[in-house]
Order: sequence, then structure tokens, then C-alpha cells
Amino acid sequence: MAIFGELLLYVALISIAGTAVASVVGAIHRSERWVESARYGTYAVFGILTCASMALMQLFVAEDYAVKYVHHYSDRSMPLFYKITAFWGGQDGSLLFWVWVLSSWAAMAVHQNRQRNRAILPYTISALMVVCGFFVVTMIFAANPFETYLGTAPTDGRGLNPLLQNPYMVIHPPTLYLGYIGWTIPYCFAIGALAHGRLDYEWIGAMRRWCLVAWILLTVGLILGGLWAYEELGWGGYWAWDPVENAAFMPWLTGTAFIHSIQVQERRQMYKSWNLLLIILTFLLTMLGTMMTRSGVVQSVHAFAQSNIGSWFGWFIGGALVISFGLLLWRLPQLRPGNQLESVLSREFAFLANNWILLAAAFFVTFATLFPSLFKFVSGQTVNVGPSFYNIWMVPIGLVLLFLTGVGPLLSWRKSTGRSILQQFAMPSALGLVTGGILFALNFRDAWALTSLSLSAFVFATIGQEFWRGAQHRMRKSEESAALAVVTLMQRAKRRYGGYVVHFGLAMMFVGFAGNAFKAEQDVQLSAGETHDIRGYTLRFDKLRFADDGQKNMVTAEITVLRRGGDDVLAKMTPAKWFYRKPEDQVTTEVDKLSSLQEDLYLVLGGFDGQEQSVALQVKVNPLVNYVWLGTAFMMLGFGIAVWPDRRQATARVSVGQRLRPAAALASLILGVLSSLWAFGVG
Amino acid sequence: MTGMKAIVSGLVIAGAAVYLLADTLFATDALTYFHPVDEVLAEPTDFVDRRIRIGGHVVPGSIAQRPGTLDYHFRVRPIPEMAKRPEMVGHTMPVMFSGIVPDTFEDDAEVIVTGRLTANGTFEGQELVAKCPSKYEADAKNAGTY
Repeated sequence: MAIFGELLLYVALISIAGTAVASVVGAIHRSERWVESARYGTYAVFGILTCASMALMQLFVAEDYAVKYVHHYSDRSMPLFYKITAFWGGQDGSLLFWVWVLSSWAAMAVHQNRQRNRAILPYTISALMVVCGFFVVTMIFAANPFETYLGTAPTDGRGLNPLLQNPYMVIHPPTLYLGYIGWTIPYCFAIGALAHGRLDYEWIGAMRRWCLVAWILLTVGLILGGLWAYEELGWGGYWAWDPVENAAFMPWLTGTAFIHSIQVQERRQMYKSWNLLLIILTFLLTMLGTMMTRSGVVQSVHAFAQSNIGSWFGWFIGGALVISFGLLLWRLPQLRPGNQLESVLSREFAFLANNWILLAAAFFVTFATLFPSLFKFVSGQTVNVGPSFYNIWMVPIGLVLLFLTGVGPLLSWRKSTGRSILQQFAMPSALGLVTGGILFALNFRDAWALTSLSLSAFVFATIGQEFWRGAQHRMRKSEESAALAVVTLMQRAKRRYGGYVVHFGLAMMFVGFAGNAFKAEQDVQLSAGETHDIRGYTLRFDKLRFADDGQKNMVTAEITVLRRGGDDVLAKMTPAKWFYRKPEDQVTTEVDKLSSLQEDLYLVLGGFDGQEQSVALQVKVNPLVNYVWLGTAFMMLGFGIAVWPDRRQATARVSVGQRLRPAAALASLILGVLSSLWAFGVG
Repeated sequence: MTGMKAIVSGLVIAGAAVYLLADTLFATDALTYFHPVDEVLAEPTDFVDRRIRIGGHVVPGSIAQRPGTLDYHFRVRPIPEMAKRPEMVGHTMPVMFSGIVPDTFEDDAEVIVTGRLTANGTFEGQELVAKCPSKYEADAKNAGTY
């Protein structure tokens, strides 16, 4: 089976090369037949890589510990579910997962655009194949997941890190990867457009939805990572400016800039070269991030260990950089804007400001993340850049961004008149100021948090006002009820109102971020029966409990939470430590928290003494933290509204059904190959 | 040529930004230098009262906790294979730390402590990171935890 998997990698490489050649020939000779065969080649690459991925999963399920990768990341005692997800638990497998996802995205995008954008499609396919080919080559020569032991095979595996054996880790990496890799598709279309010279809105129009999908997946992936750190790692927080987090955050910033500025190109035929620059940067940053997490270039709590694939990525990124910017420079004379900026008080300028801010943030995070590596290279000294440096810069940058979130949608295209500005901004500004005033009167004195909360109120008000005015208008015009008016409003202009809901979620997240200014944190040592006060709570440590479930030893502290200065019991809390048998001596911290919309009481069992019956506890109160997760939910909701298909499109899709036949045929072919593979492996 | 102009102005702006950022970075507490403990032991006066990160191994049997508190006292010795001042191997440095220690903090563990060296030669730690003595070396290549 392992040999079969390795063979599939070579087959994939050959078909990638074949597809790339076919698409290049098709592009040069403008030959439909060559382009068609390249299109089917893209599907074939996806099919082959699907088989290779299934082969690796099968090796995990079949407990074939002769395969090094399987031996390192699983063992017999693991549940089937985690055996399968161990597929992306380590470096080599995650590369296979990566290229598999990319090939599926590529097949979908090419299929979707087989009628439209025919001119740029062959160039796009070759770009896609180059990226796929790079990953397959890297795997074959530097990180082969199918590599086997030469001598006798071990009888059991080493087991997967228990931190990875939880539901967040099952969905967090794939979500992040899907989003991360999703940006490759619009990038390759941009390269196609640049190579062919067809540089108007067409390619962006085709990619708009893709970008939104990649964006939301990346957003949710990032937040899930934060949730994992908060609930499983026991960080007590959700974001630590760790290089791996930054690696995913950097393309998020440029990608967010891109999905805003393409609207200006759509409406006003401006910022054409800027948009190309942004998508190129976004792609390069995803590759840089992948390299950073895998090569040991940066030190991080959750980077993959040191390996030699860094130089492969380095050359690839360098090449992509030169080619992309070379193409952009070559086409620059053709990228004249269709319009000029008419006023600073226009939506296009607000978008430009938003872009500058996001780009500045991306630049800053990249600089701070790479600084230790660069500094070591230059001076030989090892340094560390702490979170305080990030906060100095990113807090004000974030607040300006929040402000623009409120301002942008209220300005009109081209030019806003003084009267419309007064009309639009009077109520929200007043509400923001009043919120700030009330909080100040209530003794909130942290300037950044006050600004953040006031600006959030401002943004909420702008969004509320938009919904209110739109609904009022409909209610007057068609005598609808208020609720129905809001629904029709969203149906009529999905992108606009979906966008508002996303902004609402963002402002809500900033409410959660502001809570950081008011958190309390204490480390305490308690003996049985002793109490400790924090904010409105009194904690009483009752006793330690020991248990063993065969897979691990569990030590649990039983703690009673009382209202401070009263006798009523609020909750029983049980922070714990689990000592796993495999991998040897792995310990996980099982956090316990008492959640409310106002705050979380968060307990970590730091240490214990069974004989003395004493515990070391990390006690935290995190105000407003749950608004971060709630805000994310609103972002997902807004995304759903924005991309919900129009009824007209939905019916059109049914008639396209016939054209889907080749795809259906291909899918059944793949299924057939897979099931035979399965039978082969099991039998 | 507009392309050239765009590139040159972009590079100038990026250069200025890097200078500004680096300047503020060196001015803040956020930048901490890492030094193997042997380097600090060799020239202690150079390091007194500067916020640094030191790295070394925990001397077996040196960990002591004041009863009923989270105050720890232990000693750190240089890692022979990584020492920049090999003549200091065999010397040790006393470290104080208050707070919850990681699970991996034990005899022979590799530790990185962030803090300040006091004039009397004791290192006052504010943050403590520890790696298990045995496991990580054997597992170094495959310790992926993503």
C-alpha cells in the first residue's frame, strides 16, 4: 500500500507536467483541443491526489507502522476518528493534504469557468499546475509521507500528541488550510489575466465569490485556532502573536484589503494594478506562512520541527515573486484606471484608506515576525519580540480600521455632499460619544478600551441606521411589516446587507478585544478548605480527585465558586491535568470556565501535591471574551447572506445540470477506484 | 517610467518604515536578547539589571519551593554542547521564580527564563519555559504539533 501511494505521487507529477504542457501549448496555438485536454488533466490530477490521500488514510486505519509517518503520528489505542485525522497531524502528511485541497479547488474553479473566461483559462491552468507540481516535488524529494522503515517494522506507533486529539484540532487545520489555499485560485486567475492581457473586471468578477469563501474560511480557521488555545492549551487568552498565528494572519490582512478594493474596480474601474498587487502579495504571504511553520525558520510553540524543506519554499517564493511582479510591470501601461478619484469624501477613498491600513498592518506583522530571524542572520544574536511590541502598533491600527468600517459604507461613490454627510453621521457619532461618556462616568479609564467600545457603538449605530432606513423605505413603498421589510431588503441587496452583518460581527469582536484591558489574573497556592477572592468570586478548594481510564491518569481539583461576600454557590468547577501513557509523559491541561456574556471565570490547574492536598491554580477573569466568538458567528452569518444564490441563478443552475454529466462520471470513476483501493488494502 | 517610479517609491517607503519600526522596537521592553547561561556567568556585570532571556539545564536536586507559596528557587547550569564560553561549564546560577511552573519543569530540563540579573548574582525570573530532558531530543524531528 505504501509503495502504491508513493507510485501515485509519481503518477500525479507526470499528469501535472502533462496538464501544464497541454495548457501552455493550448495557450500558444490557441488550440481548443489542447485546452480541453488540459481541463480534463486538472480533474485527473485531483482524482490521483484523492487516491493518494485515501491511501495514506488507509495506512493509518490499517495500522501499518512500517510507514514512518504512520508510526510517528498514531498508535493502536487511538479511536478510528483520530487515526484518520492524524493524516494532517504532521509535516509530510499535511503537505499531501495541502496539495490535495489545492487540486480540488483547482478542479472546481476550472470546471466553473470552462465556458466563461476561456481566453485566460489555459494560462491559469498552467499557473495552478506549477503550484501543485511544486508541492508534489517537495513531497517526493524532501518530505515523503509514504516512506517506510528499511528494517523490521515497529509493532505499534508512537501516538498522536494528545493536544491534537480534540474536536477543535480536527476542524481547525482543515478550515485554515481551505482558506489559505483558497487564495491560490484567484492568484492563478490573476496570473492568467496578466499573461493573456485581458485585464478588465472579468477575472475579478469570476473570482469574487471564491475570494469571499477563502476569506471566511481563513477567518473562521484563525478564530478556531484562538478557541483551541483558549480552551485546550490553557493559555488563558486566544491570541499571543505567535509566529504561526501571524503566518495565517498576514494573508488575512491583505486578502481583506483585496475583497474591499475589488469593489472599486467593479464600480469605478479604478485600482486595477493595486488589486493585482494585493492578490499577488496575499498568495506570496500564504506561501511564506507555510514555509515559516514548516522550516524551523522561526521559533514557535506550534511550528513543525526543523526540516530541510525551507530552501525548497525559499526558491519557489523567490521565483513566484520575480515572475508575478515581472508580469505586473510588463502589463502596467495597460492598467490605466477608467476614472479618477474625485473627492476624499468618497467611498472609493475610504476603501483606499482601508487598504493602506490593512497593508500597513500586514507589513508590520511580517516585519515583527521575521525580525528575530533577520537579526540572527545579521548579528548572530538571538532575540525575541514580545507581544507588547505588537500591541503598541496593532491596537491603534485596529481602531482606525474599526472606525473606517463604520465610515466607508456611509460615504457615497464619487463624492459625498456636506448635507448627506451630516445626515449619515449625526446619529452614529452622537451615539458613539454618548457611549464613551457613559463608560467614562462609570469609571472605565483605559483609553484604548474606551475608544474601542465607543467606536464599536458608532459602527453598530451606522449599521442599525442603514437597516432602519432601508426598511422604512420599503414599509412606506410596499406596506410590508417591519420584519418582512428587513428580510426583503437583505434579499434584494445580499452583498450590501451581508457585508453589514459581517461588519457588525467585527465590531462585536472589538468589544471582546476591549475586554482585555479589564482582565484580572492571579496565581495562587491553596490547601484543602482554603479560599481565595478574585473580583466578584470566592473560590474554595475542596479536594483532589484521582482517576485512571486506561489511556491516561486524571488529576482533578474540585473547587466551589461562591459569590464574594455571600454564601450562595455559583458553580462547582473542576480544572484538571491529564497524564497520557502515549506519547510518553504527555500532559494536557483541562481548563474549566464559568462563562457568561459579561465575563469568563477561567481556572487552570497549574500543579498539585497529593500528600499535602494542595494545588497551584491559575485564576483569570476575562471580561467580554465571549463577544469574540459571537462576533465570528455574525461574520459567518453575514457571509452566508452575501453569497446566498439569487433565485434566478438557482433555477439557471438546474438547466446546467446536463453539462455536469462529465463531472458526475468522473466522480463515480474516482469512487470506483477508491472502493477497489479500499478492498485491496483491507483484503 | 511609471513602473520604475512605483518600485523605487515603494522601496523607499518600506525602507523608512523598517527603520522606524526597528527604532521603536529597540526602544521598548519587547525586545529581549537570549544568552546561554555560561555567557552571563562569564561576564555577569555586563548583564546586571537588563531584561534578558537565559538558557540552560536545571541542576538536579536544586529545585526548592517555599511551603504554601508558589515561590521557587533553583539553579541553572550551562549546556555543554551549546556553550559559548566552555570554561564556565561546571558553574551554576541561582534563579528565583514566582508563579505556576510548566509541567515539563524538572531536574535536567532545558529552561529558558526571562528576567533580570540582580547585583548579588541571582537571576529574578518573570517567565519560565521548560523542555523535557529526554523526550524532545529523541523526538526533535517529529515534534510537529500543528
